[in-house]
Amino acid sequence: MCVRTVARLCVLVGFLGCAGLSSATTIGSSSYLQVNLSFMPFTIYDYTHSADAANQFSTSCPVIDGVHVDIRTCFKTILGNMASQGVSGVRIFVNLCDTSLPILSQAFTSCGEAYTSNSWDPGSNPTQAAWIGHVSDFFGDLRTAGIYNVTITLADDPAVYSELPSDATSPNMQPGLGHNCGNTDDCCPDTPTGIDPATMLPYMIYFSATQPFGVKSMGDGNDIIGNVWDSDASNQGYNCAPINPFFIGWNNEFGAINAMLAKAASNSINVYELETEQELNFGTFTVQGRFMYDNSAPESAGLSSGDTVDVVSDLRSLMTANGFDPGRVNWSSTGSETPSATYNSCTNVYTDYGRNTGPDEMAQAITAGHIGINSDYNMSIAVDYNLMCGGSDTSLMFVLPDSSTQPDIIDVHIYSQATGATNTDVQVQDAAATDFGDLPHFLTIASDTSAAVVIGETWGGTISTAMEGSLYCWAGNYLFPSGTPADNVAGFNGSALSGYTVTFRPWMELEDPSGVCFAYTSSSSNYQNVNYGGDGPYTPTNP
Amino acid sequence: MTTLRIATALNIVALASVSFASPAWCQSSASAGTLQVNVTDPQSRPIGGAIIRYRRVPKTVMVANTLANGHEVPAPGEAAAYGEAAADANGSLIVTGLPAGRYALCAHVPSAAYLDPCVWRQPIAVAIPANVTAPRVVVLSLGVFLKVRVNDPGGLLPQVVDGLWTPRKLTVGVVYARGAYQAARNESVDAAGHDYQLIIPVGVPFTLRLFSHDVALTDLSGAALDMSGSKIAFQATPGQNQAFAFRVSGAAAR
Repeated sequence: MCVRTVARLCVLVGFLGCAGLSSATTIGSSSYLQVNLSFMPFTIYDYTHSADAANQFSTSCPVIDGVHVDIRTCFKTILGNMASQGVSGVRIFVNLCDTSLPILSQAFTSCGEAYTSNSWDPGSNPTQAAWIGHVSDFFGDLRTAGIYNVTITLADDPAVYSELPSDATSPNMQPGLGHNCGNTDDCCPDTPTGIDPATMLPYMIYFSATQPFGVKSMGDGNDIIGNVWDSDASNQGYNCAPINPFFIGWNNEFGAINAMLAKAASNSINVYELETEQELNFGTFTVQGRFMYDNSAPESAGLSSGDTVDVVSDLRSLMTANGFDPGRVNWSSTGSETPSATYNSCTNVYTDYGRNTGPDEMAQAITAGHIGINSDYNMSIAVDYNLMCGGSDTSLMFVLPDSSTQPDIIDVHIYSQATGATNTDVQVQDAAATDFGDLPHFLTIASDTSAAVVIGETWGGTISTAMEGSLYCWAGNYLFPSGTPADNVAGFNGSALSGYTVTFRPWMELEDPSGVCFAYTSSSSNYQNVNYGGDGPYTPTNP
Repeated sequence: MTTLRIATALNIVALASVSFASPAWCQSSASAGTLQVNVTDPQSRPIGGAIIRYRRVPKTVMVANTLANGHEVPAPGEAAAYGEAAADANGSLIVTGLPAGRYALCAHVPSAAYLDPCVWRQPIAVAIPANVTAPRVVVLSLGVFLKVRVNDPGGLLPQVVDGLWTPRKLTVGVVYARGAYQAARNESVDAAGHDYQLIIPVGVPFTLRLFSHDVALTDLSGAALDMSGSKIAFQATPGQNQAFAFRVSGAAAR
């Protein structure tokens, strides 16, 4: 409450006074600070490639005498800066098959071909040898900087491979009957079929090399087929979404992951968390269950048709084999924001606060609980507050085939705000207090109170006012106040979660084609700062 | 706030001839539509007592949660309508006072093994215009009950029916086609074990799948099951429920 009062006063006295008051505040009673580095250019992580606009590091890296430093030097500089600010871990996005130009991270050389045409064999594949060598170099640089934890997130590779619906199949499809996604309803209702009136060409189904399903459009892989809202509220996406013929394959992916884990171990870096996809949304996409228990590509894991790949167990085994905690195999979820900064009065089908629906769904999915949407949800609350609440009918929700124990880590991405508005400092702080205040209830009902709590993404340490195209760097249409990070901490400190040990991991994206959001300077105004001079906004209690 | 926003309506009304249901919402009747459903089997014989579950499918908008992702929710102004209605002895039901729009229908018949299209195929879509009665024939196929009994003499499974937050020490379901899966529900627990049930179609090649990291199972002959995903092949025939029984033989080897 005391902190909250201070923050409200800040609004009255203006930003300069606010910064002075809030910057000394530490995060809760026991906290750690990590940062997101986001996408890693492992193909060119060396001393020869320039960290310039051509390689998508237009302003994120130092420029000396008008010359951009090389990429590895850039990262070493930034890692040193982070370490000096109390950062004890980083999260990296790793592309295995990003074939976009310039090639920044491509571990497999036959991306876009069937899994049988690919293999993880750096001993005979010089491209892979160089790539994993650069991964090792990065872990070495991390250790040299004095940062000992890494979270590895496999990034979505672009969905650029395609096939006609008449060539596509789904797990629902009985073999030998000549069925396909163009002539049966074995595929999801939102499968694109027929002729696109805009182009007069047939609709295509698109695929990423690292997603075990298909999407509706070429691009970032987010337009997933089997969307419950586009499928007449069907929760059967796990069964009806297309099988990806371009999937890199589980054993190939496991090979690359195992190599990364081994390099972390050999550089004495702890793999704090391993996730093969981020921000899963099981309410809308039950097909994302294939990231945990895959029914679409068992042959690529050396199993037989009809088998299910227990990805959770396979990844846990890799972690154990490399000396890491298998309970840190995880998938992050998102908190749910609403137009009201303080509303948390609705209960979802999981008997939890509506704002916790993301982590609820994640916990349910991994334990063969219920995913999808319940048919008796309250649409009025969904319209007014953007929360899926109400109801108790799980009879038409989907249940995955395998079950595992919960991870020993909870990773929720939270950007507290009142949605659809230009926020004030008070709104951000109130929303943070509500978001963080609700989480202990989830930890209790999921019997996960001993888990490590990570706010795996949250507001960056220094808010940029720049625009990316027509959108602000932060949250699109609305410019958020410069005190947002401090408001975030203040709200947390006023919440029940502040009594837990929590790791904050503010967002940063160095490989940023726009080059405006995390511009590097050597001064205190650096947009990469999270706790410059120990002066906040994210000041951890633990080094 | 729009008058189209209503509280969730759950109405099951059975009348002497045709069943009528009306969701509790407050749109004026001038723009309300009507859903008229006849439920039959594939031979066009009416199925009395069928329960139709209807929900209006809203347009959605993406709301921001994080920098990269949002989640979809019903768009502002979208009218809510959800409920259940029971067909009369002639398989007919009428739901009045529905806001116009696209609806998704699911169907089941209490105590009978008809297949719910929302589980085994896709929801049945029907457009209900304003001031119009939208007729729809819903054809339900008859399946059979799959019943799986798991005796648990050592009490190694949770002694309660699987709930939302109950640790799943055993999953039971069927695999079919190219890997599709449907879970059987844990219907009951008694002092000696657990009962699971699922309505399944006939004439479809299935494998019964039992999975556990926690317990080992045998069949009644004492043969051990592969708990990484047993593959017991079977195919149901009309009129004959499928029953299986197993026994928890101990904790799983780690």
